[in-house]
Parts: sequence; structure tokens; C-alpha cells
Amino acid sequence: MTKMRFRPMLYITLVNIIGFLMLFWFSENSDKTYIYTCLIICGINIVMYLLLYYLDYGDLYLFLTVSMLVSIGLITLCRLDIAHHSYDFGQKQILWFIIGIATYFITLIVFGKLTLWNKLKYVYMVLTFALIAATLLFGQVVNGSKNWIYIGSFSIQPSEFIKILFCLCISCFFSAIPPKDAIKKDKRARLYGIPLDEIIMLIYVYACMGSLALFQKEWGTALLLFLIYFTMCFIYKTNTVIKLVNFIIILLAVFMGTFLLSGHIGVRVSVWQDPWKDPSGSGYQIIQSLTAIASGGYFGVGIGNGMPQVIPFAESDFIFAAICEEMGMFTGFAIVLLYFILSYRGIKIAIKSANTYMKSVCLALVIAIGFQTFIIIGGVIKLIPLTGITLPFVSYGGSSMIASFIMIGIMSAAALHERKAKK
Amino acid sequence: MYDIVSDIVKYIFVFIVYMFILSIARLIYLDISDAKRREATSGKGYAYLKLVNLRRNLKFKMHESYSIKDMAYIGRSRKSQIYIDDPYMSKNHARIFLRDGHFYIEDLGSTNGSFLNGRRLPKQPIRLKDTDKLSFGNISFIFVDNMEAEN
Repeated sequence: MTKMRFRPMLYITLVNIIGFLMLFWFSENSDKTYIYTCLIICGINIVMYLLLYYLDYGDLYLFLTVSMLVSIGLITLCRLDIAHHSYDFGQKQILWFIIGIATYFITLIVFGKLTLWNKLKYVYMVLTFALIAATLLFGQVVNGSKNWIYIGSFSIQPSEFIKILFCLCISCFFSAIPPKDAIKKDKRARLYGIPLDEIIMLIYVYACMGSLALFQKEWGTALLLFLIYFTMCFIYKTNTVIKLVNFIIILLAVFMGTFLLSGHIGVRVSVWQDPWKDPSGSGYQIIQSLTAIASGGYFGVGIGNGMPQVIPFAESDFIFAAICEEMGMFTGFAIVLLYFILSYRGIKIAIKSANTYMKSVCLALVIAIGFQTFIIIGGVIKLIPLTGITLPFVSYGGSSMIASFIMIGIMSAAALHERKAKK
Repeated sequence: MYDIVSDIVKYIFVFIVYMFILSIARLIYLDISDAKRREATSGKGYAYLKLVNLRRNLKFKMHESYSIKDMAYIGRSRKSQIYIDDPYMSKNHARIFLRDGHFYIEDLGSTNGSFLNGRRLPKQPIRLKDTDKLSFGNISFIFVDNMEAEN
């Protein structure tokens, strides 16, 4: 039994060793940096796993899947570095990984110790809008959307953190909804028969989405927030009128998006329908991505034999295409499966959790990770129109990495809370 | 040379990634089946087995007590209700069953034998009484009959 507990870590280490040895061989003058990178990442993974295993702390499956995803992402980023003749992505990503792990532990401890998280809904609201306002004031336009704040040489993407605050905030409202068998005990204040809470939440959700989509052109995050909210509406028994209002607003938004605001969304939809209309302009990204995936085939061309550097944004949004080219479609399937396991664990923690607030936070975060993966992988393989969003844990980026680790930290805190309550 | 090695390694790489997923799925499956088995032997039954050994001295996972409803297999097989991962146990070691209001224990041809109050069990089933001592491999139980205790 104990032997089996360590087997997944063995496979992660093997993947790292094989990947980085190939990179070491492939790089010019056999660059030793890749050996050191391999040692660092394997060391961190093993030490963290042993720590979590022997202290019986956090959730092991969440950590294992995440560390596999980070490993595959890191190998791909180092491969891109070799193509670019630099150390930009790989070195920084390791740093982000270490900072991410640190935030994971801090979140785990802070979130597990304090119990006032469900009383802070107005704090979350103020913080959300403060972040949105800060982006509008100090943000810079990169690739058509205003979502980066530069502080010195660092850059932050506030939308990643808005996502977490949004989940924490709507969970406050959803966890106040009584379960189906106690519907008579519903004592929330009402306005024309509709709970006041849900009206405030509706306004909050659409204010967030509206400001993200209209002012910052962050359609990906806006869509993600809406999907989280709408799914939660169906999981919890919300008011029927609220659901209808949602339907009407979203139909209007789709109508306006396709006919009136034809600039941003219109281009993406037409590219999605036929990228070959403008292969060197707007369709360029998606055509490169599809070509890369197709040239890889089922098992890929092998590490170092492909040309992932020609895919635009191969380090962040299109990393899935870069992975599929060199490691094959089967590795792509494996990544989707890993996200399945991640979602499964999250939902399992949510189901087992007795604390209603923790339950709904867990659900919201799992939905966020699941839909984020679906939106970006779906966009890259031309299943749905492409919206720029990162692939959690795999894509390059500090904000994305830290935000994803905070999400996992909160989920693990919920699991830990439950295990302590049982004892 | 690099191309050939890279060509071979890519298959190994995919294989290891899938082995990882398989091992995780296996661990999750074991956790679920552990929880299910625990459900079958927790709660109130007609009788229960109480562990005599100190749990922290054992190298394998055990619970303090196992309740028995009408039939319980004991052994190293994962299908048995009372699953004990002791190397001295056989896969299907013994079983306890209820017949005409009394509990019986039967040894299922185990290699190292089962012991009732220190004596090795014969082939045929033997009736159990309240507070009987049962031993298998390294571990011992006290048998407690809830029906007799109520009478």
C-alpha cells in the first residue's frame, strides 16, 4: 500500500528526467542549466510530497496532478527557450512555481485557521471593483485588451485575482440559500418576492462582467465569470425569476455582441467559422495552432524535432498546441484527463464538506478551473471561438500560477477542515 | 542520432504520463473501496470483533472494531468485509456467519490457521460465544455478541 502511494511521484520524476535529459542533449553545447532545472523541480516535488504525506496535510491528489501539469508545462517552456536562444520562460516559471507553492501553504494555513470568510462579502466586492478600477487607471493595452499593470519590471494580470475574489464573493450569497428540504425556513429579506441577496448578487455579477468586457476587452474572463455564476445558479435552488433575467440578459448580450459590437467578437466568431478567409491576418494564430497539432499526430514529432516557436503566444494561450506538436495528441488527452482528476477531487471535497460556505467556495473554484481549461483548450483546437485566457498551471505567467495555487490551496483547506472535523 | 532517440523516447514519455494517470486512478479507487468496506463493517450489527492488539504497533491499517451483520469474510483479499493486510493471513482466511440465531466461525483452509481461545480451529464450523478470543496471523480479536449481551 505504501509503495503504491509513492508510485505517482516516481512517474512525475521520470517524466522530468526524460524531458530535461532530451532538452540537455538537444540544446547548443549541451547546456547544463537544464540538468539543474530538472534537479530543482524534482527536488521541490519530492520534498513537498513527502511533507504533505507525512504531515497528513492538504490533499495529495490535488498536489500530484498539479505537479504533473507544472512539469509538462515547464518542459515545454524550456523547449521554447532553446528555440528563442534565451532563458526567459523556463527560469522565471520555476521561480513562479516556488512562489506558487509558498502561497499554497500560506493559503492552506490562513484559510484553515480563520472562520470569518463567509462574512466578508462586501469586502470582496470592494476589492473586486478596486482591482478593476486599478486596471483601468494604470493598465496598459497588450494585444487588444487592457489587462496588465506594470510595476517596475514586474507585470500583474489582475483578472486572475478578480476571478478568485468573484468566487469567494458569490459563494457568500449562494451558501446563504437554504437547502431544498428547509425552504420554509428561508428568512432572507425579499423584494417583490425575490430574495434581496440574489438581486444584489445579480447586479454585482453583471457589473463585474460588464466592466471587464466593455472597458478592458477581457472577453475570456467575463465569459468565465458568467459560466461560474450561471452553473452555480443551477446547482443551488435560486429564484426562477433570477434565472429568467439571466437568460434574457445573456440573449441580449449575444445579440449585441454579434450585430452591434462587431469589432472584437465579430472577428473572433468569423475566424472560428473559417480561419482560411484571412490566413495571414486574423486567422494566423488559429491556423498555426491547428497545423502544429496536426503535424504532431498521435505521438508527436518528439522533443526538439518540431517548430513550436512559430505558434504565436506558444508560451501562454497556445501552450496546448505546442505540447501537442512535440509530445503528441496523446499527451494532450492526458492533460485533459489530469484536469478531469483535478475537477473530480474538487467536487468530491465539495460534496464531503459539511461547512456550507467551504462547500460552495470549492464548487465555484472547481467550476472556474474546469471552464477555464475548456475555454482555452476548446479555443486552441477550434472547438469554440478563441478567447485569450491562460491554461491553469501549464501556461507561463506569474499571476496565473499564483492565482491557480491559491485556488488549490483553498480547496485543500476545505479538505483539511473536513478531515479534522471527523477526528 | 538525436532524431532516432527522440523518436523512441516520445513513446516512452506518453507511456509514463499514462502510467501516472493510471496510478492516481488506482489510488482513488482504493480510497473509495476502503470507504465502502468501512461502511459495511461500521454501525450496529448483531455482533462485533474488537481488536486486542495496540493499533500503533501494527504495520498495516486496522480499525478498532468491526461489526458483523450476518456474514463476514476475513482475509487478505480486498473483497473480504474484514480486510487485513497481514502477511501471515491467507487471501480467504476464515468466515463468521449467523445460523439459527447463533454465530459460527469456519476456517477456510488457511495456511497458518485460525485460533479460538488459543486452540487451532478444525475444518467444521464452531459456535462462537460472547467474549471468545479469536486470533489470525499476528492479530487477535475479542468476539462480542450483541444478542447474547441483550439477553
